Amino acid sequence: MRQDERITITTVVRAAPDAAFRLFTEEIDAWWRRGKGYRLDDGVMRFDGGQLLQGEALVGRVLAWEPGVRLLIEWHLWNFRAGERTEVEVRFQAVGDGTRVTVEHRGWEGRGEAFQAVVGLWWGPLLAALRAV
Amino acid sequence: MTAIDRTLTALAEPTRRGVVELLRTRPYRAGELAEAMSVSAPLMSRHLRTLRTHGLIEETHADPADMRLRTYRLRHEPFDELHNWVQHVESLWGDQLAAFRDHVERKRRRK
Repeated sequence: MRQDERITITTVVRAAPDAAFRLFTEEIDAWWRRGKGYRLDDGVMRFDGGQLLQGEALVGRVLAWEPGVRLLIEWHLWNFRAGERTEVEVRFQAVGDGTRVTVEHRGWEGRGEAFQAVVGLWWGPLLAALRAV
Repeated sequence: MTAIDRTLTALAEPTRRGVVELLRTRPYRAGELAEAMSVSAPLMSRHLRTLRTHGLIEETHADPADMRLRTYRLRHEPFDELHNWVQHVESLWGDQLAAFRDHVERKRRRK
């Protein structure tokens, strides 16, 4: 799903927001997928001292830590050059007796305004049209 | 520079993005593009060269004997790559959130 220049993915888990937030952060190494494409190596994933680390590598810097509500991380994509940055926001919202977890990956400025333009306003129709060629 | 970087570099200019939008609908001659975008022929020629060397457009000749009939059309491959890249990021997060949901389920059952 795309809105503006964001990539948004959502799911609903059967746990209250506080518990979902705790499992998301404290147990990230248990649930984060393993293997190439998901991790750099076998290093443990963890939030530590305002950073998200995997082994010795910096995955992201924590910009906002609001238990049960929101997590904002300056995200370093593996194939990005130094200085290029994106943001990942994880939101936790109560729905019934569960929690809607929404991941929004945004801020592709590092890849140039063109990427924003492409992923943004005319992304959908343009690519739909081009792929139909 | 990766293929995606090349595509983005070529698109990082409003006139060139405008050209790409026009070429979505049909092939155009260079002169028509210059007129539609309100730029001089030499400037349009430079933009077209950039788009061509970055692989976003290609020349076609309605009549090979007449170079004035040189027209341009979009190549769809670079856009497919860009699209695939975004889909890749989307599917990575989809995988991670599915894994997180499963983890929460396992925890719940263990209680």
